[in-house]
Amino acid sequence: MQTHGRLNGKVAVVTGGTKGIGQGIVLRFLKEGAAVVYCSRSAENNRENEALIAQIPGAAERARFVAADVGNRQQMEDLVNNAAEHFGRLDIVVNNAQGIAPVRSIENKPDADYSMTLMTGFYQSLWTSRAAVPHMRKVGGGRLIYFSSHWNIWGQPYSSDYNITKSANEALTRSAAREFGKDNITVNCITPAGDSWAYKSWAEQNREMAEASVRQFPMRRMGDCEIDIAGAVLGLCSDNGRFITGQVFCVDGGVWATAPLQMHEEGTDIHKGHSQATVELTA
Amino acid sequence: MGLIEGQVAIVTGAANELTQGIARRFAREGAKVVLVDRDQEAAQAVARTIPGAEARGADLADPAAARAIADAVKEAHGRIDILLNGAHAALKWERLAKKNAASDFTAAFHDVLLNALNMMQAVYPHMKAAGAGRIVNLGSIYGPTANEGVTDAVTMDFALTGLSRSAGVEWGKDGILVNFLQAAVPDIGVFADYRAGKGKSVETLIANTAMPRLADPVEDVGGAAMFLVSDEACFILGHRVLADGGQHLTAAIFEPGAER
Repeated sequence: MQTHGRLNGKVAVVTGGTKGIGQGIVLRFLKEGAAVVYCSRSAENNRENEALIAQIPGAAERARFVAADVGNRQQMEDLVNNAAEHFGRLDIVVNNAQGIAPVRSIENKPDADYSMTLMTGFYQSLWTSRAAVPHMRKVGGGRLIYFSSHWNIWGQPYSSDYNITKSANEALTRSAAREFGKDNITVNCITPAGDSWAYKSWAEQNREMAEASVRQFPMRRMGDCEIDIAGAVLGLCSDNGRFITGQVFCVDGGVWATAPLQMHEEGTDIHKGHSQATVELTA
Repeated sequence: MGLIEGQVAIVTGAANELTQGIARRFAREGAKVVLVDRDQEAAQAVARTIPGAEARGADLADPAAARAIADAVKEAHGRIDILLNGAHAALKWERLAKKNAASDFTAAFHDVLLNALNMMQAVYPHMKAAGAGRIVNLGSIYGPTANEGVTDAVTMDFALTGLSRSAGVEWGKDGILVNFLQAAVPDIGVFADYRAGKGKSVETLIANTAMPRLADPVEDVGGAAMFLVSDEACFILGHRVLADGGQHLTAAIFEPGAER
């Protein structure tokens, strides 16, 4: 992987940066010269990152971990404002994190699941964007990156709360692109197919289905978090992305066009082996 | 070091000012650029202004001519990393009812779709053998935001959308990524002439765009093209990317065919 200093001098916030896609983005941004503030719910989650970041020359002083809950408005606003204060500016916010409820049919899914999923996904994006835009105006522009999902495109059964949240992020992408474009702030959304911790967890439990699914990818493989998914995020956040806004990008090896089988049984615990999100809801 | 240092890029339709902007950006990022146009003299004039660029003349509506170009570039430079199909239709800017639809659409079909298809097929064996390649088909903003008087451009945009998507799906396993780049109205000479005759209507439309300015061919459109041919978009294929500052979200595009 080549580095080109594409984010030299830039300051980025990445939510959920300690594993999977978020971790890939944090590491890639650091390698390209950015200062990166990232969060997870507990400092314990950051141990792996500390070791990985120590191996990137000069990155340790540009990396800053903050324990924060993406479902908490005050903590999200603080995350953004503290990043701008600590590093003296703010250029990029990547809303990667998302709380996920157990898969359940619409008939069986409690309202609390919808609230939790919207808070940790859509509201997180909204709160951090509101906090970030004034800082971005001060430096003459910025980049906002939200996340969507193929489940939303395909109406994945038993994940209606998640799909609705991702639709909300896509709608926010277009509205924010129009409202903030005059400030030279671009807003885009990523629909990733990466070997995230959630995907790995599912694939471990459904090996045959996972293999059949990848065979239907035009590129015949799942994306690498740092090379493939973070690569696209980097491009949109770099100078190359300066006139690209209001769009949803399927960073997925083309699977958006072929729609492979990927079906969960109702009640599958896709987080088996991982800590389940327990999110404090805020009004 | 540039993002595509040492790579070889074929850019077709190079007499077009927008396409040239992308070629300049490729060269700035370290690529050897081979400009192809039916008008070889025009391509040569452009090549003289781009460091290291060379020009070749060919009518790419002929598959044999396209193959000859690809084979010659491979022979001369040892590799073909990037193909940018940048030819635009010789559009008539007329309303459909007035058109000699058959001849206009046939011309547009040859200039845009067949040129792109023939060059894609011509570079495919070389890219497949290398296990890597990037193909970008250049379209306009007409597809997503149609207006009156641009039926052939809109139709060709959708044809390129389909070609890019299906080729992307077929060639992804070969490591060849095909995508469709749609650019907003660029700040180039042709548009300045058009704008001069339009009073304030163009300013009104620009002000209504998310990023209220015209596209710079090198920095804006060239930047988006770099996104697609560099290590950044290495897992994106069959996709539409708009280099338009959000113009696709706003009002109908400029109406080049409207009576003044």
